[in-house]
Amino acid sequence: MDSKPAGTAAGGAVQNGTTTTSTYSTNTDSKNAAFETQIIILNQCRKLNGQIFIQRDYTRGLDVQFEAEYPARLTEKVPRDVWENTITRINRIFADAEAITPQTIFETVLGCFTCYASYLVTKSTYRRKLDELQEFLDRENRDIYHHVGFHIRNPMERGLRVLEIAMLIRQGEIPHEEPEIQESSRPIRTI
Amino acid sequence: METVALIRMEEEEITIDDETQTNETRHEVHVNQCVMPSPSPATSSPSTSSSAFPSDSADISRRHQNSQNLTSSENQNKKKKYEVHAGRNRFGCGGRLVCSRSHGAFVVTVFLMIATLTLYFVFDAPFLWNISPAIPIVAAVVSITVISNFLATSFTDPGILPRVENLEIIEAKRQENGVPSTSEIPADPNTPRPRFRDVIINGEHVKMKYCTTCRLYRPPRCSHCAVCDNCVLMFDHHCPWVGNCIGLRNYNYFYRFVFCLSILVIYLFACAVTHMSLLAQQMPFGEVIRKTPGSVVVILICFLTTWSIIGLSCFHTYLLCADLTTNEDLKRIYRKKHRSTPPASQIPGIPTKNPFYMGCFKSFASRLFKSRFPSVLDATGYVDHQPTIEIRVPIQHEKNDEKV
Repeated sequence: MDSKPAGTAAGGAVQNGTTTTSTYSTNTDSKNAAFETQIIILNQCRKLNGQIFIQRDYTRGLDVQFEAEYPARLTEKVPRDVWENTITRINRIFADAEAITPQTIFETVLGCFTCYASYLVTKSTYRRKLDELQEFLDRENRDIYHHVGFHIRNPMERGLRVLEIAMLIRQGEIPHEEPEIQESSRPIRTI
Repeated sequence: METVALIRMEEEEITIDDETQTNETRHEVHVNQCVMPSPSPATSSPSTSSSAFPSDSADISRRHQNSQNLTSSENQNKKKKYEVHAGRNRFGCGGRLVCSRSHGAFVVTVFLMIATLTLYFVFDAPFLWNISPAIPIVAAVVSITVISNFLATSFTDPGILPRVENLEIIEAKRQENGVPSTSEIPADPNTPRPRFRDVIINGEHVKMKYCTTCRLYRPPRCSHCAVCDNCVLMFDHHCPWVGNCIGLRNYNYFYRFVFCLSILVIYLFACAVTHMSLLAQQMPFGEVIRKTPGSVVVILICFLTTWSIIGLSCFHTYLLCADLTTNEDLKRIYRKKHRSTPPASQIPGIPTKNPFYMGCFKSFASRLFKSRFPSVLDATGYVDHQPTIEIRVPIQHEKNDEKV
């Protein structure tokens, strides 16, 4: 068992002070260790300008939808169709949540008849869809986005105003490494 | 076999001697320090601010234990979101009940309702029970509906948008300054934000206004309530009688409350009048009044309040059919094209047609029968100063940079 001097690890990268992620140490004995877990502090990602904002798409009304346009910062990291799958699925979850179906009508009528006591017992359709969304985001993050250094955050954290994708800044990367991307001429609305 | 390391890298000056010690200081630093760290301390910090833990399994379990002790103590220090809410609201039941601070008219409403119903059930109901038991039962059912809808309106979060925290403002400003070519945003960080953002909804231009108190661009149909000092989604109006704003989440309760209340008021009035007139056939009127003074009070209260309640329910039925909110109707923002627009609304950019209107039936259905919108305010949740995520990373032994 080695105790490493601070900041170095067997073959692994050292994080300097500007980066956000945690350091890690590996056990040199376990060369066949497959994975390790890092803990990343997301607020630090925010401060170092590592996030992409996907705005709400209001063209069809007030129902919660997000713009499906491919963000320029994802080029080369996430292929277009993968991104499209993600965002369409998110939009579809919200569309299902806001739809008026016999189930929602039944929920409402049952609530009226039980003086809203049924709301204490059952979960509303919207809440169930939000749980589904959280599971979907966890899965997508785990399978796709964490590998390329992104983390899609739940839009509920921002009050359903905007969908935030945090860039997990790794060692040695400066936030504006890539050439300055010319976003579309729409003004950037981050809040 | 997995090795798990739990090390949190900190910013410049904080040194991690002991993991238990860092958390409190870390909290304060991240809340107060909103400056982008410069690269220079980076080179000096690795030696001081990270500590490598030997990944002995016993050690790992000890670190786990430490971190779990941390999280439990953190939970004790963690505040619920309603405790740090900046608006003028009152919370009850651990954040599950939300209402406004101004209580005067609310007390009056409660008093009136209790008084009327008590007097009715004491004086009129027994008499009418003998005529037909259905009459007081119907009254009881309708009054229970009224009371439950009233409590639901008063104590449900109307759709409050939580204010934007400092971190978001800082990063938003930096985002704006970092983008060179977008025309509308000047590079000067001290410039106030543009007042409007334009959005196209169903073909109509709608302006989203910037709220200086909440520091966000209000979504369409959202408005800032001056009484509660919050931005409320789909803001209808602030009702002092109910003691809460009426917004996206409690509009359906409010509508049912007003509708059922108008039915109840008319019903009670009719019952009391019937009671007194039936008694008046048998005895002189003075004696009738002496026998059932309660009925007189019921008749009086119902008569005085019925006009405003019926007016209100008709008004809200009209609003539902036209898919408007009280706020929009008062400001005359949306008018149908065939009506002559008042000169106040001939400001360029303000539409004359309601972009949200999808038909009367759809409007009813979407306002009254949708699934319950979740509370964005999340008053019962815990404030998380340091949201963290865990990712699993394959260890690369040869490369210099980490491939995530």
